[in-house]
Amino acid sequence: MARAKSIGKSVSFLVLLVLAFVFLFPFFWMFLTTVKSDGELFLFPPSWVPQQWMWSNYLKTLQAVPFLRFTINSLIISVTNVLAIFFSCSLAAYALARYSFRGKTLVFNAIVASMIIPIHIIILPQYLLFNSIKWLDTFLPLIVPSLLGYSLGTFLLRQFFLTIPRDLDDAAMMDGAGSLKILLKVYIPLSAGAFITIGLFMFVFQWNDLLRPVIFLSSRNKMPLPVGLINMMGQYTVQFNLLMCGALLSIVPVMILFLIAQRYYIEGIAMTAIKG
Amino acid sequence: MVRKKYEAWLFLGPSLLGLVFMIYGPVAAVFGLGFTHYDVLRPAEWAGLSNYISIFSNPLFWKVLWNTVYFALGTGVVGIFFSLILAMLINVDIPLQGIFRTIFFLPVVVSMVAASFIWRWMLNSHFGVFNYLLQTVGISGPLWLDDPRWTMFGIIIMTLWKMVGYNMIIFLAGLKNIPREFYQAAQIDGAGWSTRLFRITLPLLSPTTFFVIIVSLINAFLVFEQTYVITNGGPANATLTFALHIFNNAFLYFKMGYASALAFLFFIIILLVTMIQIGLQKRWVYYD
Repeated sequence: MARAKSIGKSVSFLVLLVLAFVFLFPFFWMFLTTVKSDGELFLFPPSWVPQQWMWSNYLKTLQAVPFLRFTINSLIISVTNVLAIFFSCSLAAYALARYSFRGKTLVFNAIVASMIIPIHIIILPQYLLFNSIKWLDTFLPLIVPSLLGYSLGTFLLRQFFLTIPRDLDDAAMMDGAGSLKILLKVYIPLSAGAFITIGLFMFVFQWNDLLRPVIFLSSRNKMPLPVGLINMMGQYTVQFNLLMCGALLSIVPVMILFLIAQRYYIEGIAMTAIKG
Repeated sequence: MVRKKYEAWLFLGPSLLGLVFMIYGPVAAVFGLGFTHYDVLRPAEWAGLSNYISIFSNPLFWKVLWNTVYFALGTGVVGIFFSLILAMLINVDIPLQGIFRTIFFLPVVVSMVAASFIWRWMLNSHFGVFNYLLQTVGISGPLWLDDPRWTMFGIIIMTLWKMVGYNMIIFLAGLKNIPREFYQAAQIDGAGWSTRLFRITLPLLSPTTFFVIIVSLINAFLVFEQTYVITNGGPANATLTFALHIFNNAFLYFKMGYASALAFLFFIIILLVTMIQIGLQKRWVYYD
C-alpha cells in the first residue's frame, strides 16, 4: 500500500515537472526572442542560443515608443484606482455590515447582482456618457468609476467586517469615537489582509486592462502599457524582438508584485469562490 | 450601540451613484439604444426593431455566435478537466508543491496583451517555434494564424495556458475543504482510488466545480483581447468573437444603435446560459 502510494507520488511529481516546463516555455521563448537580432528572428529552424546577444534591443524599445511614459501612466491609473476603491468599498461595506436601515437588502442584492454584468456590455453607454461630459482622452473615465464603488471589493470587505466583534465598536464608542472614526481606527486596521487582497486584484486588473483604456483614450502620451503595446505593434508589426522586449518589460512589475504577495492574491481568489 | 440611519446612506452614496450611472443605468441605456440608429454625430433616430432584424438576418452574426460558442466550449470543457487534474496532482503531498502552484498560476497575472504577443509569435505560421516543436515529434503543424480552420484552435490553446492556473487555485481550495477522515474511512473499508474519486472527491467537490463552470463559461463568452490582438478577428472572420464584434460596430463603424442591440442580446445570452446552469445544478451538485 505504502509502496503503491510512493509510486503514485513519483508519477505525479514527474508529470508536474514536465507540465511546469511546458508552462514556463512561453516565458523562456519571449526572453530568448528579446535578445535576438532582426535577422536571427526569421531563421527556421529557430536558434536556441542567440548568435549575438542583442541587449541593445531593450534600449531600442525604450526609444522606439514612449515606453517610460506608458509605464508611468499605468502606474498612475493603477495606484489611483486602488486608493479609489479603498475609499468607496470601505464606506459601503461598513454601512452594509453595521447599520440597519430600510432598503438594505435591496442595496446589497443590487451590489451582488451587478457583479455578473460584464463591462463589455455597459461600456458603450459609459462611452457616450463620458463623451457628452468631455471626459474622453483623460484619465477620469478610468478612475472615477472606482471612486463610485467596486462590487466585488465591497462584498468581500462586508463579509470581513461582519466577523469583527461588535464589542470593539462599543468600547471605541465609550471612548467618544464617532462612527467614521470607528471605521478608520478599528475596522480598517483589523482588515488589513482583506484590503491587501482587493488592492492587489484592482492593481493587477488595471495594470493589465485593455478594453477600457483603448476605448476611452486616444493620445499616445496618455496610454497605459497594454494600449501602448498595441500602438507599438502597429508600427513594428514583424519586429518580434522589440515587441517581446516591450511585452517582457510590461509584465515584470506585476510579476514581482505577485511573487511578493501571492499568498494574498491566491487566498483572495479562493475566497471569492467559497464566499461567492 | 445605535447608529444614525442617515450615515448609512451617506456612506453608501458613492456606491449608489456608481450603481445608477455606471452599471444599471448603462444596462437600461443599452436596451433603449438598441431601438435606435445612432452614430454619435447626429441625434439618435428611432429605428424600432430594425437593428434586431438586421442582426438576425446577417450570416456574420451566426458565424460570430458559433465562433464564440466554439471558443467557450473549447476553453471551458478542456480547461475544467485540465485544471481539475492539475489541482489533484498538486494536492498530493509532494516536493516543490508551492513552486508548481506558482508556475501554473504565473500566466494568469500576465496581461492578456503581453500573452497575446508571445503566442502571436510562437504560433507564427512560418517562423513560429510551436510548429518547429511539433515537427520534432513528427507532426507537420498547420498555418495556425493564416488558416481559418485552425486559428481559433490556436487561440484556445493560448487561452488554456493563460487561464488554467486560475481554476486550479479554486479547485485546490475546494479539495482542501474535503475532510481527510472521509478518505481514511474509505481506506479502512478497502476502497480503491476510483471509488475514492467517484464517491468522495467528485461529489464533495461539486459545488466548486459548479462555480468554476459558471465563471469560466461567462469569461469565455466575453473573450475579446486575444482575438483582438492576435488576429483581430481574422482570417476570414474565423476568430471574430461576440465582444469583438460589438467593439468593432461601436468604436470602428460608430453604429451605436446596432452595437447596443448586439450588446443587449449578448447580455441575454449570458444570462440564459447562467440560468440554465443554475437550473441544472440540482441534478448533480451536492451540498451538505
